[in-house]
Amino acid sequence: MEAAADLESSLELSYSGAGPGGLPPARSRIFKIIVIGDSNVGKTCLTYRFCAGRFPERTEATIGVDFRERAVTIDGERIKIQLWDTAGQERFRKSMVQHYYRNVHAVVFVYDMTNIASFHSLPSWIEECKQHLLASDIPRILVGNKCDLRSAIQVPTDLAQKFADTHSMPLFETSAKNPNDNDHVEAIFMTLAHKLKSHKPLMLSQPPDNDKIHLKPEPKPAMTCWC
Amino acid sequence: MAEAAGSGGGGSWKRHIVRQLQLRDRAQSGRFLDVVQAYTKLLEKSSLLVHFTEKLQAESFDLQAPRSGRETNGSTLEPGLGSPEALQALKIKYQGQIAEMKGVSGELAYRIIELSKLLKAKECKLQEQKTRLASLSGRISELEAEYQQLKGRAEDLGNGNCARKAEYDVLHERYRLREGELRRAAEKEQELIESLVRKKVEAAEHQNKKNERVKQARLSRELKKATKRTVSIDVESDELKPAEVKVPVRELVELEGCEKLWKRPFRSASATSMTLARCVDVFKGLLDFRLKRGNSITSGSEVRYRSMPICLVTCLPSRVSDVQEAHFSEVNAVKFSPSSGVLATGGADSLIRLWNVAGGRLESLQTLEGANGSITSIEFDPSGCQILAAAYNNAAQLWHIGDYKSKETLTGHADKVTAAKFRSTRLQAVTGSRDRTVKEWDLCRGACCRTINVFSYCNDVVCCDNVIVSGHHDKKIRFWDSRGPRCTEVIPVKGKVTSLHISQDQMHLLSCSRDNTLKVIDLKMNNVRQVFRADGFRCGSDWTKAIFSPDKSYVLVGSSDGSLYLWNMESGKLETILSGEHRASVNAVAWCFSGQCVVSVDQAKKVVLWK
Repeated sequence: MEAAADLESSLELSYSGAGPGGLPPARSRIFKIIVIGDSNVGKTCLTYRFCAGRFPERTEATIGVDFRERAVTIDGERIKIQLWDTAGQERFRKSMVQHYYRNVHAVVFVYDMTNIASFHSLPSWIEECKQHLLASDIPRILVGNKCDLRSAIQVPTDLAQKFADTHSMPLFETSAKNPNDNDHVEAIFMTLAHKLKSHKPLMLSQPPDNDKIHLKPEPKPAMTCWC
Repeated sequence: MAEAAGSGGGGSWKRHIVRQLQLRDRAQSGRFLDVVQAYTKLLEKSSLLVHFTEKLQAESFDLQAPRSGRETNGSTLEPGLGSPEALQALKIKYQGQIAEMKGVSGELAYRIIELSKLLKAKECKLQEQKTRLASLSGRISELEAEYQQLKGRAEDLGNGNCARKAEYDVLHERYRLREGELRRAAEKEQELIESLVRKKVEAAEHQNKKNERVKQARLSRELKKATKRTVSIDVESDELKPAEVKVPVRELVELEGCEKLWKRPFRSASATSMTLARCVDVFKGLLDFRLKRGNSITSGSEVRYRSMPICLVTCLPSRVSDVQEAHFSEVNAVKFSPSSGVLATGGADSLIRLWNVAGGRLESLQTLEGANGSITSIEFDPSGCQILAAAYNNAAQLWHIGDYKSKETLTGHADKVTAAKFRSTRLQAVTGSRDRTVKEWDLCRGACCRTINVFSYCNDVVCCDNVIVSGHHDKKIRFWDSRGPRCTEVIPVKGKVTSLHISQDQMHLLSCSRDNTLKVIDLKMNNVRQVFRADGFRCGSDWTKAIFSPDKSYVLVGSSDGSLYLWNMESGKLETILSGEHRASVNAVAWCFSGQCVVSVDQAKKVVLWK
């Protein structure tokens, strides 16, 4: 066992410098996470907040897609989270949709909590996602943005939670502007990255406690146990 | 005068003298001629005047005396008529004439008044007309002035209109130009957007390709690692504990025959089992004195289990009997209990569910929890009261069917445990893992007694006799001698091995691999006897399980499109395809020991019972 471990570590070292044709040694895994939602819900601000740690004061409508990467370390492994900040307006995204969903690891649906129309268009985004995704087990999460504008909130949390449960997605409410409101933007993406790394299912919709049945103990078999 | 005339002859002087006299006459009388004339006239006049005066006197006399009317002729001046009657008559006549005259004068006066009235009226009228005329002419001049003014204004307006029209034209022209500019700008905007979007599409493609390349690079590195590993490691490093190594050597010498027997738990259905049991009993006493080896089981005899019930007849499943949603996530493993009609399913949600198969329906009995990772394989022990399950959290766990909490946890692997099987005694287990080791465990103590380095991810492991068979990621099936860590045999296949299944008589081994074939291997000869493949059968994952039917007449496996493929062992041909129920890749299948029914589980949480 020890010998095996040593061997493994030595192999790791020997490969540290090499890399296939021209690419830098791709030591870290890349998780491609796409951010989908209506125009103006705050996708650019969310991704910027996660990757740069600040709120961008002036943003313009995203054309096509913007890539933002951030390297994180999870359980000692270096992982690159590659966020694809997609365009919300139809004319800016129509030829790009297949490219968004190609080899994607996770999908983040974003809606604006102060705009109920953006919430109502979520089903169509989810449908598009279903049509383009090859695997059915790609983790998806739902994020409601702009929760700091408390007086203008139009989407109540219970409605959003019901919707999220229907589609078996976890719901997070956050604000890219004041990230300390509700769920922290950083926490959301890191949770998602953790789940991706460990392949755990995102939703354990019911805790197993609820439907455990206590069986009466079976009659012991007539063999003697030698333990 | 006279002198002049002198020269003339006798008659001439006369004439001269006459002439002179005439001249003188003339001169003198001439002067007085006028006067004479005038005098004569005056005389006439005076005579006239006297005449008239006389007349008038007469008249006036007449008048004064008789008041008579005058006779116009006046000639009737009859002075002296003086008779009173005549005077009276004249008076009357003259009075009458006076009255007449008065009347006439009155009439005339009246007429004069009238006429003067008329005249006034006419004068008024005239005045009026004049004033009217004046006013009208005033009006006319006013109107003319106004007309002139209005004309002036009309002209002004006309000019203003012209000016404005000119302005309008200018503006219109500018508007057209601007509109043209706007159109061009909109076109340009469209072009720019399109080009930007094209660039973004290229960028996205590029990024996707880069991601793929990185992934491939990692994969190739890992593969290189794996292949290199095989080469560099010679089988000299021995993980056996020294104690273990030494003691068996010593004792082998002593009790070689029976020890070998003892260490090779037989599960065959042959009659030798009885003999072995007796051997064991015989050596029980001897064994008791032996030094207990490190981790192995020594105390007590082991119970040899009777072989599992032999099934003589299997029915071909043909239709769906029941469908249940078994787990919250993919279902990875399914196994029938050998003793009772209990079915166990294990899923990615870390739960093991027990079901009762009765009357063609699946009833959920119990849920075993306590695993901390998704379940990869399940096995019942031969008595059917314990379950051993392997999980992703690098451990295998043991449950007693009565408890719902795990009785024992076997930790020690460094990566997912892909398979855990009981050895023929239920006190020993073998696990295979992705950390490239196969471990043997002592279940009483829950500790690993031996670790075998297997050089590649182990996807499945089965045990029989004293041989452990493991199927690997590097497309090889390896046989291990359970006494020493030696690899006795290596059988290569064409794809990653996803599952192994030993037939009940322990003669044949069925392997399923990623090149979409199933191979039947003869365990005695260690060669491949049969190969099964079919169109449309695709191995869905790295852990797809294929099984023999209990009487070894059929071979069953689930495909990635959700259908089950069944081959006939004797003919080697595809017997039937069961499809229509599963919508996702089928992970595992299990055949009940009586041969009556088959259960399959898939990635979409379903468990299906076929009869």
